Amino acid sequence: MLDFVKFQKFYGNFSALTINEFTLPPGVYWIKGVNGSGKSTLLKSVAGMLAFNGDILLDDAISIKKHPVAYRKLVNFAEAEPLFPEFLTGSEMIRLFAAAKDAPTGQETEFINSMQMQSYMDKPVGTYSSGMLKKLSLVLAFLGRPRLILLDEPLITIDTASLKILYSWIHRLHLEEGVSFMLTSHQTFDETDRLKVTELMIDHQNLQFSN
Amino acid sequence: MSGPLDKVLIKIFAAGFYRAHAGILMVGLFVMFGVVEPGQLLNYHKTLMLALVSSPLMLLVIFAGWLLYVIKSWHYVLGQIAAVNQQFLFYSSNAFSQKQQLKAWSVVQFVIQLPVGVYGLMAVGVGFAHGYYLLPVIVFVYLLLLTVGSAWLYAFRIHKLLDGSGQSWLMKISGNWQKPWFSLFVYHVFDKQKITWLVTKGLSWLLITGFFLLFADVQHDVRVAGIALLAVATAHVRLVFEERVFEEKWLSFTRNLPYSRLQIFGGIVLAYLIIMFPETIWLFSRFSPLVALGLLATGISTVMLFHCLLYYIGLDMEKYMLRVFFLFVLIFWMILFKLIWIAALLTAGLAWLLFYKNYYEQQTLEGDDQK
Repeated sequence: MLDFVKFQKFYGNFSALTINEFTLPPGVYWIKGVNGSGKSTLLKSVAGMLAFNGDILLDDAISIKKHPVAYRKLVNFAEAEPLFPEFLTGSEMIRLFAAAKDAPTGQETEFINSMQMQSYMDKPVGTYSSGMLKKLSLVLAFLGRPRLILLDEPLITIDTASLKILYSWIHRLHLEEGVSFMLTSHQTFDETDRLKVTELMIDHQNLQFSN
Repeated sequence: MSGPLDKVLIKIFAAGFYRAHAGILMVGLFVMFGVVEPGQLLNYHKTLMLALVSSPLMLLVIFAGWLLYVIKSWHYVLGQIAAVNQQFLFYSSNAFSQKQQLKAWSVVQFVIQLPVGVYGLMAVGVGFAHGYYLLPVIVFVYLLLLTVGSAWLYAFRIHKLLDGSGQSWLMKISGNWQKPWFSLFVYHVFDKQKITWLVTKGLSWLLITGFFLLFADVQHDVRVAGIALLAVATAHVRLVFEERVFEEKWLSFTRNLPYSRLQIFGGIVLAYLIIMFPETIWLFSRFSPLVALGLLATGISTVMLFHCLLYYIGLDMEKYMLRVFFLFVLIFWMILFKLIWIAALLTAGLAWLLFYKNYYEQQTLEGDDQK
């Protein structure tokens, strides 16, 4: 599903992350590592937000560097601490992302309703609490027809009821539509027998499967 | 003089004020000291200071100028107090005694007012030396009042609780309009940068009128319009910098959206076309449509070059001003040698190249904190 080819991320002269050759088959991945180990750096790089050396390939064919638009159609991302222009409303953000990611009409309705976000969708994002903002960013990450969804710290700031709903979305998209996920979290994931979560570890600026 | 509160406040507000206004302060310095012949400099300023402390009319004019400076500082500091980054002040600085807070804010305002204060105090000294007493004392009291009054205003603001985020009128009326990506830059200007926009447009108007008065004899030379437009584009650098900061901080998600570079570049061009709409009206009312279109393209490509330059050098105001100055001189000479259309093509090409090479390559603000 995802191939890293001579991936190297530097901050100035300091090497933050090196992944020489690494292949991730389709699946749900939980990326672990201590603070500052480079989890967010990894996700942001895969999302196409950070510059790096080397390449990342989706489904063996779509390169983040050579096919920037096609790649970004298929890889969605929710940041750990999302920032959106404060004057936009939730609905406007949704419309912007839905148009960009070619989402089927009305796709967002179910997500919004199940997280009970209807009451504030037409209020400016600047008035949102961090939990509301987090939910909005999660909905945005599920729009369109992604092959891979990256969720950076999806479990922080949202309430326990919403947490269960988020799990159900991940289940459904992975089992029914074969969407892969890469998530970071310090909390443990709620693994069920139906959904297998593979653990990855970032250690010494390198990514590997943890046993 | 330097308690912990003073230090923090100076670092945030006074240093920030100078960083944000470096360009305009440089221009001010240049006007005050650069336009006078070096040999005459001392005498010129002595005469100016004597006029200040001897003529009530002059005093009023200069007081009004200082007040404008101080109002600008209020605008900056009050804006910063309300910014998210500074919210910790609402539950930390408040714990100091009233006296300490007022003192700390006075020190901040004193530092912000240094250019005005130093000049004013020197004038007071010159006045005393020449036997004037009443007006110098008034100057001193006025400066003191400005400092303490501002400090009181800031301290008062910190004690008033935040009322959540107010919405500007444009946001209210634009309620359910479609807001395509490029328009976000425009909304941002009318939401958070109204004053900067108005000041820029005022400056534009002054520059255009000034140039055409100055070159009244060769008004129909397209070079005059070209240079006026270059000056207008340069007057936009502050706004351009703010737009890049906005893009970097609030639109960083764009890099994950499936937009092609051409789409994004075109979007930013559209945004600047709207921001420079008043100048466009002027161009089309004054020149033939073809020339106006050419001049507009020159202006927009210069602004785009200033915008795209920031992808290359990062959000560093000092580096930026230096390069803008260099580009200004370069384009200025090209226009003077009747190469205006070549200059337009070159700036547009260079802007696109800088954008194409650096859009996905830049270090983001957040990238630097190594999360």
